[in-house]
Amino acid sequence: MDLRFSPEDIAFRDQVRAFVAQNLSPETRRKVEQGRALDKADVVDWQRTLNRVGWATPSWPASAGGPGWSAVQRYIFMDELYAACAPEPLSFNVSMIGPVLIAYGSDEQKARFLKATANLDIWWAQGFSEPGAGSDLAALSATAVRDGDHYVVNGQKLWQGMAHRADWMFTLVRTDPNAAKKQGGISFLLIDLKAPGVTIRPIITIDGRHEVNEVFLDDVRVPVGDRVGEENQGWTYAKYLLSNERTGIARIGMTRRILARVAEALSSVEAGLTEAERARHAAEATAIEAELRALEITQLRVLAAQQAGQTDPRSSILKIKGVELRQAASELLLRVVGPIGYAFAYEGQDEAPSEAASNYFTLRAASIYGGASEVQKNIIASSVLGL
Amino acid sequence: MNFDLSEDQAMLKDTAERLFAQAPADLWTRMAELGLLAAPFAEADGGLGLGPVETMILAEAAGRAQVLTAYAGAIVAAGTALRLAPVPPSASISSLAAGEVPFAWAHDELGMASGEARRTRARSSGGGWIVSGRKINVTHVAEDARLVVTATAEGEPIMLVIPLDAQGVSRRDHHLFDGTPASEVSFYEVVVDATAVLARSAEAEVLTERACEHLVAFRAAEAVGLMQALLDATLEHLKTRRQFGEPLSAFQALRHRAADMLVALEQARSMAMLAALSVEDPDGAARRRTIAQVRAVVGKACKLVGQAAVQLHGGVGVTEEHPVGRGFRQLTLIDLEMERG
Repeated sequence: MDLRFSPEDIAFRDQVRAFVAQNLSPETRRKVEQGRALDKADVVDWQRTLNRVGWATPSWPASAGGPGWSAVQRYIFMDELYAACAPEPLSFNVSMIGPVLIAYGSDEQKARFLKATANLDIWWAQGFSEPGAGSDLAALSATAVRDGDHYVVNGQKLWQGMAHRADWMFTLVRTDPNAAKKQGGISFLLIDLKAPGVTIRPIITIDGRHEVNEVFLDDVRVPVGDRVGEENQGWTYAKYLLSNERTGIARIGMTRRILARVAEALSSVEAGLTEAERARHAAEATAIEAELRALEITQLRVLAAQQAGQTDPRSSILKIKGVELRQAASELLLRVVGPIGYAFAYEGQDEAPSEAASNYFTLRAASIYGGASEVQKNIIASSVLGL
Repeated sequence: MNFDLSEDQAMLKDTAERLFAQAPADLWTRMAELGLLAAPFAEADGGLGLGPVETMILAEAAGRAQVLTAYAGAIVAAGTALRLAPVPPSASISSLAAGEVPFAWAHDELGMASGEARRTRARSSGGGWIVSGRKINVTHVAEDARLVVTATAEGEPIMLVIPLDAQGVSRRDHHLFDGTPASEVSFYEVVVDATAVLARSAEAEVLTERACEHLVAFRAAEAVGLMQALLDATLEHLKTRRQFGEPLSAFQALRHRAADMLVALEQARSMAMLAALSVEDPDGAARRRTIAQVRAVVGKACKLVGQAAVQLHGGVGVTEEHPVGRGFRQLTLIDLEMERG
């Protein structure tokens, strides 16, 4: 039993650290550090900076143009990004659609999309949820009806993060309404968001920001060649995508960043705290830090299992606990910053003096998306505990 | 980085689990025969020279089987004090490692916060010391016990070894709520010679701290074993107990509570591992911080898992004879210890 990284891993860490220090723009760094929203250009520039050295797609195998890193290297890489206040590579591209195309895409799709996806020449949106299909995703009702060498797609998709910046959307649609099981009649389509019949409407969330959207699909014609894998097998690919989305999602470094802001706020006079309040908040921060330390070890344990080629259903623990701690830290920050945190920047307005409120409201969604915490507990109960 | 046990460690785990599952009446003797008491001590002192990971394995196995042993007080706390003393008393260590002389850890006092100077006093007299004071919660005190006592001498910490049969030592026995036999031990003008002193001043302070840290690491791992036992029993109960025509495991509220138990247990397990891998860290500041974090996480998990196990067992969980009720009391004691440090 040994917690230390190997000398090779430490050399790798130093290499990543030096690269990020040299290449991350101070403006992007400041935004991430303070929890401010990133512009499209911030995300694209950083992704391309990473892609120039082949690091934009940490989880992709070398055969698909990725760096071919081990699970430990991926962890170190992400940890360094968080510590340096660098943005994550765009998850829709890198963690979601990329691996699906690599595993199930046709050669033509790989040639057409993979490089552009890695370089963020194409920005992808996720078209899974619908008004009637959230946690019960397989209940989705958007339809695709075959018409020659096209599908005609109709339906409404909901919660498309950053779809207003996106070029394409990977989408689940029902192609066989008569399938015996509802999971059986679903196909996985790639939809060009510039196609006629696509309407994207913004949804402003409680953080005051425009990140998610609803996407209406009215008689959108999608070439059959833009279907991933087999018809009616889309559920298999979606499950694969979701399992990738959920691994390594503890985001410990992000919580550390919020706690650093808590520590800063606790020592600032602006917060206007009594000694008793300060002591209470400091104790809460200490408690979160302790749980975070434990989660870091838990993460490494899951990682070690992955490294040994085992899939570990305990990764659901990382999602549940990781989100819980991030939410707790953001709530603590909001309580600690004091009256300056009451000001708010609504979408399109100038920056607020503190992003504490925005961050707090943003993170309420973290226990809902990517498999709600209650769904994760169901997964633990059935897959880990055998209930 | 790896979390695997070595072949020897896996064997030790196997040996300990088998022994604790049998829970023989002469458990301490059997542990001595198997070399388990000798584990953490240097080979020169009759020990096996094993480290904190091996101790963690033993603790977890003891917890899993819910056995009450003197290991924590005798081998871990008192043993650490002997082993890390400025001049380790080789003969004492080898007799402890062989199971010949039972040592006990006499540290707690009434109304004392952890880390505070002890009220038990030692004053020097004719080359030796005269000790007066009272210790509580001294566990597993055998008739021929030797007590490792923390005290204050001339305003400075001191640590001494005092035999229970010394003139002026008296005991009152009771049990802790987890079933552990415990004693209140009083010292009235007890005279010991200079060889009784294990450490003084800063060295005694460090020694006390190290003993307490090793105790935390041990109890954390014991808690992990206990929590695993309670979770296993709870899962079995949820699968077999039927109400409203269905097994309890069909009810989502109960499934989610079981999932919460696993999350807490795995967090605690991570911390028990971290404790074992950090408790010998020479960097005092880093080690102290880690041990504090271990205490915070493990204490919270003890409470969550213990309370949930009782709740999910229903009425049977609050009975004295059921292992889950007893396990909950064991976990509650560890929770309180973790809070006090």
